[in-house]
Amino acid sequence: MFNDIQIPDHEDEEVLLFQHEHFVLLIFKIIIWAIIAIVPLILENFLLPYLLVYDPVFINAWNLFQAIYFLIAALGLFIVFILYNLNVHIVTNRRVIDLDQWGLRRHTSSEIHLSRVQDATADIKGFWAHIFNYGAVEIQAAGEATIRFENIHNPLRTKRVILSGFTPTLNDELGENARPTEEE
Amino acid sequence: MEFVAPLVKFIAIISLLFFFIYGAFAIVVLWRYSLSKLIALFLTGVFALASFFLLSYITYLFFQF
Repeated sequence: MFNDIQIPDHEDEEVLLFQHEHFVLLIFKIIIWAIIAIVPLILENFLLPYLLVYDPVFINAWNLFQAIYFLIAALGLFIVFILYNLNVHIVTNRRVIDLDQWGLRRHTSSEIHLSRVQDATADIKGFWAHIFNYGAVEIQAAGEATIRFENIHNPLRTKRVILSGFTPTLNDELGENARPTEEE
Repeated sequence: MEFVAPLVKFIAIISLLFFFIYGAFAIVVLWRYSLSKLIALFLTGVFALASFFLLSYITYLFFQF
């Protein structure tokens, strides 16, 4: 409705890769969120016996605080899912598209035509990245333009798909969607 | 101790203001940039439902003072 990115943009454009952030990172963020969200429940076990000594107004205040805390926590989880949904990396047989959402206040949208791609580098860094096979792919285009796909699943495969321009020689399950080579 | 109730109400109102402004902003960002409006609708719906129940409970507690 509002997004300026149209996929596919042409009749013969096919989406080869459509990637979000790696799923494990989303799970990791949800676990961190859950730990923060249950803090009032843990505190309650220590605080409530002392609050009972005082005026019942403290009990009401505590309940209100807890409810508002959960409300803000729900907003936090909503934002986690928004960021997951809006960070999208797409490779088609015509172009490379990178949509990045940095917090709620910054959105970047980059596109590079596949014919302008000069170099692609896969970067897998860290213990968990090797275990779960996620990392970054940096795509260098003619001129100064670069696109960086952060925390995507299987960056080596993404790099191969981009660099091969998706020729029939690529040995994977997407082979039938091959883009015609220059000779053809 | 009579200062506690107005203080709590004031903090609650500020927190709710923050929630409504930031929540509305988040929904605008989601709908503006999301490639799939179905996912945007789903996320907004779940968030709205959870917020509705929590806000009902907060309203009930707010008038307990």
